Amino acid sequence: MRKADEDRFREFARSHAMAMRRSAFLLCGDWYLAEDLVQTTLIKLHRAWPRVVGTDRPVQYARRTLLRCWLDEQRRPWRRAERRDGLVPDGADAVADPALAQQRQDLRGQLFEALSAIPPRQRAVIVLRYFESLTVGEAAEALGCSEGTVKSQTARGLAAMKAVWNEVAETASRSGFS
Amino acid sequence: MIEERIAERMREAVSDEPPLGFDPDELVTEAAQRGRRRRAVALTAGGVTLVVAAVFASIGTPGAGQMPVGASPPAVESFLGSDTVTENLERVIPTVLADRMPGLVFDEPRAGLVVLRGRRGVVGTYRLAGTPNVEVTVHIDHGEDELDLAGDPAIGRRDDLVSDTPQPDGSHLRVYRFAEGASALGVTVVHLRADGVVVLVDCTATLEPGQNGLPVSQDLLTAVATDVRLRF
Repeated sequence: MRKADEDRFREFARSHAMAMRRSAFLLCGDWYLAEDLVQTTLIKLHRAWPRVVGTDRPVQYARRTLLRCWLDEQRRPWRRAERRDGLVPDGADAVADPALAQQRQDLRGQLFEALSAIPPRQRAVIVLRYFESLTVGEAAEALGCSEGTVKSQTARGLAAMKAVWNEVAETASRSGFS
Repeated sequence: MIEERIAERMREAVSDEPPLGFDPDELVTEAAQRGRRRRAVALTAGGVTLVVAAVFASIGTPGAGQMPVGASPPAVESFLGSDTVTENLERVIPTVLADRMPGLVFDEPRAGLVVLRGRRGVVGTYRLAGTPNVEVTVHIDHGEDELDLAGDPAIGRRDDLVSDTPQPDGSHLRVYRFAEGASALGVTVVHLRADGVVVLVDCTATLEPGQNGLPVSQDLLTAVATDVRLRF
């Protein structure tokens, strides 16, 4: 790779690594795995950089690669055994107020419980549409599928997440009365 | 609106993210080094196979270079003697793959052999060279000292159990299949040995358009899983 391209890649990696890790974290619910996925993505991207840099769409390419890495990871034999039900991600909460920190942790736990209830591709669609704020067309391009598929996956994913949250709310209200 | 609620929860969930655990500059340097090694290996592959094996071996030896990029940070799993087991199997597994799957060349595992969480075992994933989407995973563990049918690591996965065949030596051979529509396919062979050793060999591929099968057959996976050199 030419020095100028290498420098551009270095700059790209520096400026996008954190954002990529946030998306990866929402996909997998684990900061360590998210970091692994970002590193794998950047290594793959580095390999393809001379091609990618000429297209002026490195962010889209990186997003597609990251999704692919995560979907591949999901199919790994040891991952197929894992269900991250009720997963509360690791990491200390920097909020000083313990009650506020607990509330934030509860909300986060509910988010990941709902996300883990839906299949990987639906989860990817939800993250792309509502975290990365992509349009239906952009999400379809990132996932390599049709816009119709994105719409149907979004609808199913939302419905499933809503059902989980309703169930959580119902359980909470029942235990509140007992 | 649930969409707004989800968006808000997602923003909150990442609002207190930890600092990045790797240095992007170091990663780029490592990626560039890998590129050079890969080209060196590709050049050598046209010549002498033995030399390629030596290059792979030297790359895969722990401590021979930098810490593998992509290895999980701090939470490294271990068990009593895991360093010796890992070091030995890092040499043995590529040899067994080469002997049992002649003609197929595998890349070294990206993060070396990894100790399995909660098990006395290790796992490595070897990508079939020249393919972006075919991987063979070799998982070896030794939790019990006798046949441990319940210790099958494939139990409880989304895979379908195809067969469970008792062997003359008292061991069991189980075969699982995994399919995710037309997008992914996997075959897993598990050898549950009479001495408690469990060897799982899996081939999973993300299917490309026009690809309708795995390049590694169940027989080849069985040959690897039953190879006596794969043990602690």
